[in-house]
Amino acid sequence: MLGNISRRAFLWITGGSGAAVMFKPARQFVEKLIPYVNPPKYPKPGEWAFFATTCRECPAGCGMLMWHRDGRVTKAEGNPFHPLNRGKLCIRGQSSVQGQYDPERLTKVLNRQEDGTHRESNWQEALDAIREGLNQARPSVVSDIQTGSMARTLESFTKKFGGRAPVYYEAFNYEAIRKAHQQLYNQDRIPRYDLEGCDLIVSFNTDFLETWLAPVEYARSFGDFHSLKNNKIGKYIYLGATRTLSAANADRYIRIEPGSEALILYTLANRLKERGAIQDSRYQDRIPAVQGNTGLDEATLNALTDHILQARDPFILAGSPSDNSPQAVEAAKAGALLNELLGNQNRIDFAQYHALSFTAPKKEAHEFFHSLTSDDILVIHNTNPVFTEPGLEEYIRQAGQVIYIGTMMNETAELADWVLPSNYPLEEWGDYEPWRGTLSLMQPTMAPVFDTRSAGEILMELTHESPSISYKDRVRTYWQDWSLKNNGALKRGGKSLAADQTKQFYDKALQSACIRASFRKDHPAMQPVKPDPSAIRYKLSDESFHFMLYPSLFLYDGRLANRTWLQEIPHPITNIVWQSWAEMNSRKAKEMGIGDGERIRVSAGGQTLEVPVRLTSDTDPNTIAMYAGQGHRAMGENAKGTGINAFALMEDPGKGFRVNVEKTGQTDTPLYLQPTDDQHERELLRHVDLEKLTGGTAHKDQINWPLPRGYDKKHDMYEPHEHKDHRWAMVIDLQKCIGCKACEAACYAENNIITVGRKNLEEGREMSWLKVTPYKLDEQRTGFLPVPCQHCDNAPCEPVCPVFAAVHTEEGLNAQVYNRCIGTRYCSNNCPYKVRRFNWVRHEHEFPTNLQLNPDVTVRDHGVMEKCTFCVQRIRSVQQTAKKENRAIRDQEIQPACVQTCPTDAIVFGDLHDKNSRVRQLYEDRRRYQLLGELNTKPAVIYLKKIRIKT
Amino acid sequence: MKNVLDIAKRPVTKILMVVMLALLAIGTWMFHNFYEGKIGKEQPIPFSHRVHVENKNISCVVCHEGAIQTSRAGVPPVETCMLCHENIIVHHPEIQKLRAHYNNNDPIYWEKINEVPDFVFFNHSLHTYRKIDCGECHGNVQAMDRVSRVHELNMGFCIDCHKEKKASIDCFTCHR
Repeated sequence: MLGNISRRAFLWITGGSGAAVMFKPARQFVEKLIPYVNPPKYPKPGEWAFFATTCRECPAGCGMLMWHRDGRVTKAEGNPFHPLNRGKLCIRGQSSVQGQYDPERLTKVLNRQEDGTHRESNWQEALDAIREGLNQARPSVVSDIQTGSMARTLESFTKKFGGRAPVYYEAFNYEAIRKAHQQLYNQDRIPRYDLEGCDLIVSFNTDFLETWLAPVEYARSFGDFHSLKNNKIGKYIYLGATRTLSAANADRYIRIEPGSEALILYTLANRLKERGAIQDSRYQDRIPAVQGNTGLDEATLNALTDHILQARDPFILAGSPSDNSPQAVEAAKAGALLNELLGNQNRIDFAQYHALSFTAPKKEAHEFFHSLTSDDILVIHNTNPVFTEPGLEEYIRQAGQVIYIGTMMNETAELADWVLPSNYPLEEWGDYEPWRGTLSLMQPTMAPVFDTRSAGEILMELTHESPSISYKDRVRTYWQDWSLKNNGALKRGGKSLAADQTKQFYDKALQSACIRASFRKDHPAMQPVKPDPSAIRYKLSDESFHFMLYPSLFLYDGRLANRTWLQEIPHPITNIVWQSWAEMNSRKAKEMGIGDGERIRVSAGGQTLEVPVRLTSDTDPNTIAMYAGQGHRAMGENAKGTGINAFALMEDPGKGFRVNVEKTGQTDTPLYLQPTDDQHERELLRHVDLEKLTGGTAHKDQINWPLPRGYDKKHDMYEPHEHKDHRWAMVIDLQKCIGCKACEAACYAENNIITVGRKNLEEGREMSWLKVTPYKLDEQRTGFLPVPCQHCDNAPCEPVCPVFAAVHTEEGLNAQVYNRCIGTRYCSNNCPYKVRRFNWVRHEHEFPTNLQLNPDVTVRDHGVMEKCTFCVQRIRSVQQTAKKENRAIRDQEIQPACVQTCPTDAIVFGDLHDKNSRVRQLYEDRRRYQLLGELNTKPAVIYLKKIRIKT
Repeated sequence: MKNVLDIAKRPVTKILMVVMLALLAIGTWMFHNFYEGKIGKEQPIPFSHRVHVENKNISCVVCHEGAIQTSRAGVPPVETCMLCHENIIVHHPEIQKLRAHYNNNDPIYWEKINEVPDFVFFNHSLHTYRKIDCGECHGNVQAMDRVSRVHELNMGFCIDCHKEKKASIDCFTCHR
């Protein structure tokens, strides 16, 4: 085209565009200002407000504090006043805002047509039709686990219309633990396990750092337990079928075949008894004499026994969340017995049992679904049994009318005649009692985004309880009843308080969102129950494989599958994204001729699925392991068609899961964001032996200080930076980091980081500012290396930027000025840590995802380099508050998003100029080192070496 | 036609025209020198800052209380206007318009005059805390009937002042 252009046309174009440039563009972005007519007293426009509520992303029920600004919530944080998680939050909780603003949330009342499609309807029509149905048939209710007000509402609903008691259905219902305790203590309960203060944890396939019962609380205890204090440190041994996140954190990972747990536990008990190590002799004659091959060699068994013997306060964790085979029950029983023998009665409290104790056992749930007839109206609230047990679909279809109340379209909702969109938990009043005695309140943190209603209100309207009382009133009444019954706060001298005083207490309770009961611990005596010899008898596998299904750290049982953060943050051990995979032993695969990344056909009882394998020596040779949650047929666009639904194989969980494996020959390698966990001797993640630390012989590495004192004429080309007032720095303790990825999700939420999807990730266009990478230290141990921007004092990115977009600020931060950036990518090329992210993708922040954007952080467009800022918006916010209050900034007052959420407090942030700051003290720690410090970049992020504990 | 020319030729007319032109010139000169600022956009309700600030001596932060408390100065809600106009000049047609907005819970769509782009994180309260007068950026508002933009609030304007007052000129102070 340019070849044909005439001289005259050329001049015309250049002259015209030149003139256009000279005209001043109109710089009016917003044209109208629309103030309130009557403003609310609080929150003020443009200011943060915080609302305490309860996380309902999994049954753990942690406390949350929602950052609210101008009528919308942008970020979830742990509630520091909540006794379970104490200010910390896991990756699932962090993603709750993405669930709230899921563009594919149910927004309209839907009515199912003859052909199976849904048409839009309205509330009036739906409620009239349902009422009419209720006059003729009895309702049955299935719900996810609910306690308190919601349980009351569901019960009064079924009672009013003569239905059966509501069934609480959860895919992971910890039935093995309940059955074991029913036999041993006559208590069909999941007791509260207290890990605080013990010095040896032996876990049998329990992933307590990921999803098991109260992961955030356990991770916090574990961080404490696993750090060196007064030359003492806790040891942690994991016995399991594959290397999960909890296994990777162990000081020793022992590969065992699933089903052998009980035999190993009883063998250990016998050995402890032989060596006279039983601390509580009441039950020592209960130890069954067992024989047989445990699958472990003598040295391992001896080492295990020795460790338990040497420990002051050992604790055994056993009990599968999903498996309820006799073997799994026996394992839980054996674990409970061993804990009794080790004197752990005070660590296991039956008075504070978990809400999951109320879930229907699988058999009961099946009977319930099988009994449905056309005379039944089935109300399903917020649970997805068709996904977690595809076999239930035909029984649900038998029900006369199916009503689904929930927030997302899913496999179960697709079958429903009426789909009623309910408020997201963040828009909702409510309460949840995760552990008996800990009542956690929920309050709306913002107005509903869509035309949705509270599930409680819908049911109360159907029973005509509403509008005389609202669901909100019910929550308050429940709180009042509960408090009067369980603690003394609402009583003075045996009398209840007056209404206005009670209201004051309620307002206060809503601020902290949690109240606790005052009652004693309960640990009943053990019943004389004989072990089940058939469940202990253990024979090494035949041709078929064990199938181990783990709850996913990200998606739990699949309910969170539509969230891009959870799909895009790589799995902590494998680094796989947007995909399902099966873990298989590499030696076994070689025997079968299966290559890495090849698809295998796994079948059980007529069900088949094809899934790519990841070969690893960490998996038991007779096991296929998968994580739950992927492979949705219906749900949002992100969930649909991503991965494979592993639940498909679990027809009858009571039998234990046995599967057959065939080779298909097709290759479908999953996408690994990091191809290897091998360090190739680069010593990125360093460790130090415990003996050297306690013996005082540990070598203290030299560091290049990111301060003028780190300047050396011989090595440095540029003059040192003089920092004004502060020099921000970070210390990351690798011993404490458990690789749970909560920090990555927090970073996505705080900093408006976009997700780019699988195709872009394949091309290396990931956007995460913070990356937690697993590296293997040796065959036994894995470490996790969180790498944010190192905010180097001698940053290689800064001098190469042609437009000064990468600049060193006066407080030591390495800033990226987005407006200046022209996208040359020289800086990223020069960064040895590869923490700079070039934005290749034009991302439309469509409604309602735009409501999640943090208004304190610029929304970047494509063509711009972006990177970690140490959450400068939070630094500024604290500085501004301090300035207005005329005081200095307190140490650790500034908490970047990653620091704030870290369950183990592995990351510390602070001012290096402050001699007394925690960061400054940790800079002098014996375990310090700098990542790639030999490059003389003088990073401000200091790592503390992982401690290698001999086991 | 002839008559008109005749009238124009009269000396009285000539003098009158010269006087008128002179008056116009003086008026223009006075307008530019004594009436500060230009005339801003027309607002839905002709609120005069001059009347309220200069004549009635009301401080800026009585209505724009956000300026000393939060990052945003904020446009006052209708409720704030009604604090006084519930009882003062009740019958003026424009005040009645205001009352209608208040009674119907119907917000007023004011025209925005001053603007900083969304990648600039400006905090009003910090500046007022440092005793920076509102007029440094907003001009002499007390002399304006219809508020207009006095300074182009661009980066050079901010930096000049920051340098002069020895405030931070770190990029991360305003951009994040």
